[in-house]
Amino acid sequence: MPTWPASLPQFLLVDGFEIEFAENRLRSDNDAGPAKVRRRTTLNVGIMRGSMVMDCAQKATFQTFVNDTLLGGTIAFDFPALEGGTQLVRFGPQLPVLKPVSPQLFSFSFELEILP
Amino acid sequence: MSRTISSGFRQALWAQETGEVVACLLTITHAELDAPIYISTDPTTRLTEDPVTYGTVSRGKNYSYLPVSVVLPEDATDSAPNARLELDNTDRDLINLVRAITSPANVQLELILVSNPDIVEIDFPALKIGAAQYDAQTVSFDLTIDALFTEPFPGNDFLPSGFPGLF
Repeated sequence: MPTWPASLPQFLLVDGFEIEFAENRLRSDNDAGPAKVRRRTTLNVGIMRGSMVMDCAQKATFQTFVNDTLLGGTIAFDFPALEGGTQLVRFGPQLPVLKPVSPQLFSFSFELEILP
Repeated sequence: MSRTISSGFRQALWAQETGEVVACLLTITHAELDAPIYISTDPTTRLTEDPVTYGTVSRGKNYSYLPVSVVLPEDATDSAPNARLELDNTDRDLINLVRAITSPANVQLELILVSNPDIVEIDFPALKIGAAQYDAQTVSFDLTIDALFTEPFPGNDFLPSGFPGLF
């Protein structure tokens, strides 16, 4: 299982960081009164969004990691977890988006699916 | 048609909200298969790390998770039960497999509560894959049972085609 490179930032920036609970509910609205709710499946994927700032060397490492190690962002990998340790994640529907912050710094924003 | 189900299952069926998950377990057997294929409709637990796979463990067997849409058979008394499976046609190899099948496979369909996976709440009689339809998006299988009561009786008739001398 590929692991997030140690030379890259280990956590997402606070600005724009959010985690979405895995949506597992099947909800049936009634004509009146509260809706009926049950679980659709036992496990589902959560969503984590955020961005990182990298320098030129880290940018190259990150691009190699995504394109070669993760085969174009298709493979799941171990990413540092907020609580410590690692969690199994995969890139979401959109691959990382690069924005230059300065001539030597780049901001990558991406969405990760937290696999159960 | 009445069924005997557990109190937990009955409670979950009637509850306004419940955390119970009902999984459908499929056991596919065929003479040409080396081993039965076990499929679950719920990703209850992670079965393997590399590659990452999910499934349900029931009665010591690993049922691999596959997002199959299952239409359960009806409980009509005047017709044979018919079920239907629908899968996403993501791999064209499935079409080749469907075309290569020369005899129907047997499918055992069981419903369990994920919180108690070793207890089969509802099981259906042994079904056979009767017909398959496919298009670019989905592959669907009709599961039928040998409806012996629809077979004509007697088996042979005295018809002009077979016994012209009688007519």
